[in-house]
Amino acid sequence: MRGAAHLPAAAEPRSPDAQRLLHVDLVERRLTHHAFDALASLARPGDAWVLNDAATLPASLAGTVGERSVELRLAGRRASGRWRAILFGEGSWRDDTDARPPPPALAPGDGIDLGAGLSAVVTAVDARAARLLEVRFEPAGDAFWRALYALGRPIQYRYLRRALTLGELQTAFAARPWAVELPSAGRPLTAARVAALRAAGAEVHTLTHAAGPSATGDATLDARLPLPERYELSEATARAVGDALDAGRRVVAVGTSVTRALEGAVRRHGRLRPGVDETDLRIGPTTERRVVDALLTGAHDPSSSHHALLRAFAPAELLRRALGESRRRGYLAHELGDSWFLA
Amino acid sequence: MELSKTNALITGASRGLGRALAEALAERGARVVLVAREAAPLEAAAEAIRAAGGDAHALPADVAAADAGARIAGTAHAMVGSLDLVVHNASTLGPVPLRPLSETSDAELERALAVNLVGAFRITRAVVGQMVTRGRGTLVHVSSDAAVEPHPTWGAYAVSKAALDHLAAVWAAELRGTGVRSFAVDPGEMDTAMHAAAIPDADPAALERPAAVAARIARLIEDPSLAPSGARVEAARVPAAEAVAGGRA
Repeated sequence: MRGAAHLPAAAEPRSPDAQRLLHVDLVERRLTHHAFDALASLARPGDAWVLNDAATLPASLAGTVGERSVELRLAGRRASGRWRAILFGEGSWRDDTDARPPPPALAPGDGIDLGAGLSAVVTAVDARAARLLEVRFEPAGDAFWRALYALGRPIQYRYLRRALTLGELQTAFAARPWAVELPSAGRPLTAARVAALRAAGAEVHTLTHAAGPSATGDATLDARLPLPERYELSEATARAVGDALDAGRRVVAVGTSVTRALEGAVRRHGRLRPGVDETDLRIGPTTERRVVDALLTGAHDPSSSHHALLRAFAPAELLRRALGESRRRGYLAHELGDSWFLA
Repeated sequence: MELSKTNALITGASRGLGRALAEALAERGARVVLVAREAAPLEAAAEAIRAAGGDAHALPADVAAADAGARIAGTAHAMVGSLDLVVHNASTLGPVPLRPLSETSDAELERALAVNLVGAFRITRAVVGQMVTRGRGTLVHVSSDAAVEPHPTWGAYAVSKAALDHLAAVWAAELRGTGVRSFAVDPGEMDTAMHAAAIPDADPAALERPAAVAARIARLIEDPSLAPSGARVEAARVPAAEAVAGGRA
């Protein structure tokens, strides 16, 4: 499929006013183009929309192991308080992660000096990918968060012209910083657009899903993405989405992370149980959706792993047409471009 | 807003009214994140609250820094969870000793605006979205009578506080119907280091204690009927009995 319908990436983040929306009608198998502000007109009274309110962490830390410069990228916090993290060899966000030198091999007990008194101590090394570590930070607690926000930088996107600030990589409704990369499907949803959805009669709820890394610099590890990700479902959201399901109202996920959390929760527990959990669910063409009826997502290239998830919503033929249409109309792909609404 | 179930952020919290507010809110059960530039006095203020049984977290930051919104919001949300309350109290007088506008530099006026106005704006912008999606939040803007009465030599400060009052009012207009309240409060003249810097020969005995004013502002936060969204309230006019009940001065 690649090459047949390859979407260009945004060189600058698409501004909210210029954002475009392709409605991929899953019933009529029809495609219609909209300005993003038309989203509320595609919402239905009684819809239960679910957003991921995770803020984006400054997940990239520069450090040293002995004499060697390294980059430690947070991949997600575990229930134990330790972190999954990925170690990269020397390089910057401008370099292709696959082309950077391999990181030094570390063993449990080894330390990574991150400067200003912050260090990471390796507590486990993945059996199949030596760069995938579990670490604990010293210091812990509030001092860790202060140091992380003083030293850490947000993970950047190589296709952009410039590095983005931490503020530019937040959604409008960001709360606890659980995501290591921007939960990008929600980026076009300004406060006014959320209000417009509610004015159209849709409910808008949130969950928190720790969206993980999109690239690891190691092809075998990339093939394992997404790694298990933590999420929290509040009692209010669990009840509201459950009520929508019982009443046959539409459940709309904003982003693949929300889809993963809701479908993962119902598979593990048989229902939407509130609380914190991890999901290792991988969604693809054969996944039967039990919760989510519709998806708002970024326009994604067929080469990306996101695209496989879309196959759980739409047949390959419809997605091929959507890609072709998007390309002809100048849609921009990936995290900071235009949107598709599969509904 | 029930303070025992509230996550609060207070700027300018290492001394004066900000510190007294952090103490007053923590006493009423709020989890408080204290923001100020200097780490040592800030940590001391947070430690004092913890020693008294409160839940306090120190977050050193300059609210005038360009990326301060996302950094402060992210750190605070990591420390205590979703913020329900922000008190914009950090402020700078501008040139000290106070000088007429004709002797105030562009940089001095810009600094006063950067801290007193833009600092409040960028923090609200970084946290208000999650308040709107949850349908719950309070934004408090600490103003001054200088925002209303044009006193000579108070120019930079007065201009920034007048703009802050209007910032509070415009947020209120834009947030109508969302469950998020925005108001401004004039604390009145208090016995603080800032007041001493502005008026060195004032008699401290004639001034209000910050703790007494903080108790009144806590009432305004708890009871929306005393400070509806869009209002500008003088703390001195808050019903005295209520203020005494919560005060420690």
